[in-house]
Amino acid sequence: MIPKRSEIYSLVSAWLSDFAQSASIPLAEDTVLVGDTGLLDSMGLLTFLLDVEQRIEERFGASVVLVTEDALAREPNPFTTVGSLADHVAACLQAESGG
Amino acid sequence: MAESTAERSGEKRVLLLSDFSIEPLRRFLETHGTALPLKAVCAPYGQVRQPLLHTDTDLWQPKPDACVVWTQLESISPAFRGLLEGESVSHEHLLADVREFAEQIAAAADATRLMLVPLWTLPPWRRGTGLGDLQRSGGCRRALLEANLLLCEVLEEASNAFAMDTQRWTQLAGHRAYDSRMRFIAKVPFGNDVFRAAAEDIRAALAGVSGMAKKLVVVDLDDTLWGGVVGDTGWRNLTLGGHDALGEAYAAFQRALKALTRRGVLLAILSKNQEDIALEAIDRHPEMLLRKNDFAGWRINWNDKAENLVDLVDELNLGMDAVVFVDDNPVERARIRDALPEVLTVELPKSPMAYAETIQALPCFDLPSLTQEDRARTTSYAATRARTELRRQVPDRERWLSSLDTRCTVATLSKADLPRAAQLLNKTNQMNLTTRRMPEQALWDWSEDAGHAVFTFRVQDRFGDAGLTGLLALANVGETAVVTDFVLSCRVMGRRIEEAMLATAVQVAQGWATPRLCLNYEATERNGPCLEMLANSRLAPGEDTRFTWETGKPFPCPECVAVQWREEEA
Repeated sequence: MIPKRSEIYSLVSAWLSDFAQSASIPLAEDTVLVGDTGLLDSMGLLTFLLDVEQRIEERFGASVVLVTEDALAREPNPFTTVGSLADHVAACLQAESGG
Repeated sequence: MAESTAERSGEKRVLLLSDFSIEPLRRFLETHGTALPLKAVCAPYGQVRQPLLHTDTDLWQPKPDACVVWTQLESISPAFRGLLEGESVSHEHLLADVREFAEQIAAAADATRLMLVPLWTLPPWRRGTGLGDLQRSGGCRRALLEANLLLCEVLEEASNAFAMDTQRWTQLAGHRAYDSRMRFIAKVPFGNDVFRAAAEDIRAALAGVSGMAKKLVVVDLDDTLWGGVVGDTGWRNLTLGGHDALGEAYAAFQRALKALTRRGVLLAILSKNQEDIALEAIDRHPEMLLRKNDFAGWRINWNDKAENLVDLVDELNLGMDAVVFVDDNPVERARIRDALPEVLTVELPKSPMAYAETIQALPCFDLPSLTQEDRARTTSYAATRARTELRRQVPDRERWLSSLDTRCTVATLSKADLPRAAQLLNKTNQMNLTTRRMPEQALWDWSEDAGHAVFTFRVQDRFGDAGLTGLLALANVGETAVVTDFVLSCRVMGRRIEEAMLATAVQVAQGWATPRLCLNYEATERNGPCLEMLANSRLAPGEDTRFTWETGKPFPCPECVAVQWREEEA
């Protein structure tokens, strides 16, 4: 069963807090992931995205590929904020399930 | 020299040199694990040889606690790159490339406390020439094996340089060890889990050389060291060894613990049992691999395990942060975690068949090298237990000390004793005057400087040989002989060896014709026993925590310690 978007958002937020060691920073839908005002630099973002792929597989048994040429080039970029990343994860899970 | 903020806070500095983007390792080193705070610095992308050849640059300041040189063989050796691309290359050229690079690393090792070099690997999709890939003519994996072996051999020439097993990290990472997306997008050849495993091993290496390796494993008995409850079934009916899968699993666990004792790790027992029944099982069960003499101590009773552990660790003169606790009972584990968070409580798997591998996989016992003293530590603690028994029989302390027949052999620091002397200097916390830490070579160089002298002390008594357990370093500074290091292992503390060492220091000062001997105590969180010893000694207290002795008169050596000098070795 595909998890609800709200569950995905909660998981992504928790994983990000752990990864960025930013427990004291409140995360929100519009928290910027990368860039001057972001939590991570570009290498940190890539590293985090690979972790998210792995954790999704461990938790849901679904093999999703978040980092693709298409996703990296897309406008607006799905890796801009915590909320847009949660949307991207939900879409990838949906696609993986054939939905 | 003024201490930096990092030094004061205990933060370790790690320099990362790589021909690929090593940022993920920096992240995992800095953000995972709290026991050992780390600051990792990456050299500019792709720069490896330049920093190795120029260790006088800012990159090496302050001196790193570790430098990690992680490269890919195809970047280091044009010959290997050619081999990967199917060219016919000279084997000699390949090894010459490797030797040149390895020698550059070894030559730069003095610029760091620890030089760590992950071995070269190839991803599994590199099949080379298939069946011929392990043959000398044209085999990529054969070339890789030989290159890694040569790298190891050259690194061994530097006492603080170590190869690291990258293949183990890729095995742990499984199918996520290599990720082509990261390779092409970010110039990172490995997946995250490889860097996580590497970070854990690098942390363990730093902890080992910083004296933070665990020293004591405390184990439960019933359903941990053997299957069954000995108080219920009797020792004859325990599950241990024999032609039985579970019995073999418990035997394998005991074998793993026994192997730890050969690495200098102590074992102790913490069990809710009747002591005589439990000890009878240890003595009499024919499949027991661990016997009473393998344990430095035990608390076998019905008391609270946390309280028992505090008592036991105090008896063994160790800190709680040196302890690993192993118990099959999750309630007991939770109790220890709650009461003594500094103890490493191992989360044992449910199946005893995984006990041995759980212990063997722990990185917390890692030490860069083993000395004879490490290997004999359990024997030494068994002797200590016998000494304590004697003390109970002979209540008067002086009579007890005299009955030990303690002999202390003093020698000028020799190359043969250097590894153990450096280990003692870098690991001893309690009886340590200044807690000066320095690697082997630096200690040797210091001892060779004019006006410096370093002495080692070996302690024996009628129960056994405690080995090289004391170190004394002095500097001749004009009118004063200054004791720069006064270090004594906790294994022989309180047996008046301290006074024998002070008497030796005074003799050295007299030999230098310096009218005064001076000891400047520098406080740390853990060297209070040293100050207490100095305050109770015959030395004259001065300002702050300075202690002196006018060398016109000898310092009395205690009668219970026979001091002899060993002739200098050729």
